[in-house]
Amino acid sequence: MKQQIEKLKPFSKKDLLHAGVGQSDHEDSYLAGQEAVSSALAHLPDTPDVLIIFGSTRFDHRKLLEGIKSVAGQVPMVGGTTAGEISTSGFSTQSVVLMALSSKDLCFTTGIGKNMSQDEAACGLSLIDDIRSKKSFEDAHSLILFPNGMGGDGAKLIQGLHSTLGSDFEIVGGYLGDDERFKYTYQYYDGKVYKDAIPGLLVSGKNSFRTGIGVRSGFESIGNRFYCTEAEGNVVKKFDGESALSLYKEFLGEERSQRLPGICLEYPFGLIDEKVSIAGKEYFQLRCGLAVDHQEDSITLAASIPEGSAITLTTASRGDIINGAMLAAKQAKDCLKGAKPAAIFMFSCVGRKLVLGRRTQEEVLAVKEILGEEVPLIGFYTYGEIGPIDKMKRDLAPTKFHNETVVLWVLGSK
Amino acid sequence: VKKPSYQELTDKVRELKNESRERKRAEKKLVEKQSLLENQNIKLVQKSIELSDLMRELEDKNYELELIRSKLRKENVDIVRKSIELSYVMRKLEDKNYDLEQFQTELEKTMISLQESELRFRNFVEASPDLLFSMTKNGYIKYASLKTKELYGYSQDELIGKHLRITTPAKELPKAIKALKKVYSGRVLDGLLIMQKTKDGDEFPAEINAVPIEINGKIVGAQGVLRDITEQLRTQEEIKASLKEKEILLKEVHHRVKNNMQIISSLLRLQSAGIQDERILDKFKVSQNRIRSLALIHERLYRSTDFTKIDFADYCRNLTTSLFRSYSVDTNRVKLIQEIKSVFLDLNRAIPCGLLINELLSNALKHAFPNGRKGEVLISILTNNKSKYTLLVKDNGVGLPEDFDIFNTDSLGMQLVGDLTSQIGGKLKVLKTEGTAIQVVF
Repeated sequence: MKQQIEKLKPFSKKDLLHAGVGQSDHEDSYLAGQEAVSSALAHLPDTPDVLIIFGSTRFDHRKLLEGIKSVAGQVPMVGGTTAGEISTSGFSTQSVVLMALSSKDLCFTTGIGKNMSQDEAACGLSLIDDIRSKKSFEDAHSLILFPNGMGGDGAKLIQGLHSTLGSDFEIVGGYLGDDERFKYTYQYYDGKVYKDAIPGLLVSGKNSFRTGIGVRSGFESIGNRFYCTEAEGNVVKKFDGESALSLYKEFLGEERSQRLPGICLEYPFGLIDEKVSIAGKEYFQLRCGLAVDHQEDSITLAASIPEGSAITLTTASRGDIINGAMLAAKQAKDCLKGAKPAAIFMFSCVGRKLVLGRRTQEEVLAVKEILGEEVPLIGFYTYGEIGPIDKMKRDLAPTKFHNETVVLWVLGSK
Repeated sequence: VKKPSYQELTDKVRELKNESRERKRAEKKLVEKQSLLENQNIKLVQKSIELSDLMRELEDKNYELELIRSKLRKENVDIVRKSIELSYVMRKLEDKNYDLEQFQTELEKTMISLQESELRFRNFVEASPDLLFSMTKNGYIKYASLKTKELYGYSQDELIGKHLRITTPAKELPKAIKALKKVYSGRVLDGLLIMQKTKDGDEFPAEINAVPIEINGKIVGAQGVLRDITEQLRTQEEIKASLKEKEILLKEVHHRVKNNMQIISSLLRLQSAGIQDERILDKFKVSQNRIRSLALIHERLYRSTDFTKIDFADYCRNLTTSLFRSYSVDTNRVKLIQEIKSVFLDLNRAIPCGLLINELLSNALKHAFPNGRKGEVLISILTNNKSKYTLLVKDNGVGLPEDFDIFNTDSLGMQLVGDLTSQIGGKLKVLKTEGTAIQVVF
């Protein structure tokens, strides 16, 4: 049994937030749950307010949660399956990672929306209703979501949430994964396992906390921009009046086209936002192809692209991706305005992991280097990321759906 | 019909005139209009022609634009594809770079452990009490350990790179080169004794052991150990001298023992001169013979080169001759057959064994052939491979009395035989034959 041996810091009354992280790659699901939660709780002076849990699909999820409950009791829980786990001890696979949080000043409220693939927006709304029935949104800091990664159009969910919370409301999150099988993901919510839902966590409370958000990819535009001239939801049919798939194939060349749709993760589309420029460069939200239809000559994306929008093709080297993570960490740090990072959530796209390969660990290290080696960190490799491009700028504050991006959410105590 | 009035007529005329005038005016206008229209038509046609020209020109321009657009598109596709290609190359380069970094880290680690190991071995080599060296095929010194300063008076730097003639006296050079050739042919040089020359020109004896250095089956050098054996040789000489001295002393001791025993024997002989009683005289003779058999051993010892063993066959011959003479037995009457083939016995076994033969042969000569009876005595010592000896003294004389028990007898001689046998860990046995046969296996 692999025990995490970490120095336990003495608990101080000044600590307004207690965060503990545990990890386990025990073969047995029940024991893995017990092991992870035990080492996380060792950092807490009292019972946890909430547990955030991310696990590999290899587990018997019911038993995993039973194992966690056997130690932590009936505690609010959110999380789900991933395409790779991230914790303070770095990147891991075939494991479970877990963060336990407790605070006198902050309130953690969990909620769930079900049947996501029927209607993403409606599912999001029912999640908000569920949370509202327990806690008002008045002093809310952020809403953190873990949607079913195979649950449909990412943009529609965000639109739905904006309609009820207002577009300024701070929403972050990561779409759950299934170790790159792209079939089913599972969601963890309050000790139960779901198949097509969005568990969410509302963080609210006193102003003694400030949140920092970093959203960057490191991907670079290649070639001229082109325009989406025909699209239905997240299915793109025409670019510049000609078949979208044909043009994409032409760009990739014959040899690489045979690796469709997998190669989409390496060469995503950038949806150019004309209003935004970051460091003098045009800004684009990344949109990754999920499937291609050779008969219909169309590409299905992870989220919809409006007709008429300007598109560019993008790519990144491994160095670019690691650099992107550093930029996101710096951005999040800037947002904190001196507040001390107390817990980090990291959601990075599975496509980044695929490009990084054996250097995946470096992305996590880059984030830790900037935000602090010792700060409790939890996260996973995602099938889609949610977050505002720049929460400091009014016009960039509305949350967007991204692919191939890393989203960092940092809770800092003033 | 009412006739029109004049007035009416004039009016009519005026009306007609006006009509005519207007018609003319209208006609004129019509003509003017017609000509204007014609002009306009010409202009229209002209314009149309101009327009159609322009149209064609525009079509041309559009065609050109289309060409440019398609060319640009093609170029863009090329650029994108090249970019993708580049990003692939970039990632591959990153991979290679990563591998290189890993490799470099590994290499650095290996280098450090190599350096450590080198230092360890160097210390070991430099601290060696013997000189360690390696040499090229042509006899140039590649390496010599720190000992070189003490041995030759040369520093390491002074020796390394020099030919071996710097430390080899001219007369020894052929020997040294021959030895080097031997090592380069793949053989081991084992204990070559050779003179060496110091920086001051002094010579000292040395012993060299060397082996070829083989890399991938090819001999690339020779390495070895050189030891100054001046001290060793001196010690050897001292030991040799001291050994010689001891040998002489030992010889002297044996000589004196033999002489003393001979004196005792002579004293006994002199003492017995006046004795008339045959029985007492016999006792004197027996004692004399016993002492003589001992003295003979010491004589054999100081005459031999080895002081630990004696040639027993040789000894036996002397002993038997002396006994025959002592008992005045005619060798024509009693024949002695001796079967002892190159048996060498150490002192511990030779003395008891000699005494045993003395006793047994004396008995045979005294008792086996009474009244001038003829016969023969056999003395044999046989040995098997397990370093076991079988001594047999056999005669074809009258034999032992019926009630004779060799293990229970009052005779001092036979008691002595029993004691001597057990002294050499042997087994005594009387064989049943005609005459007497006594066997001792030890």
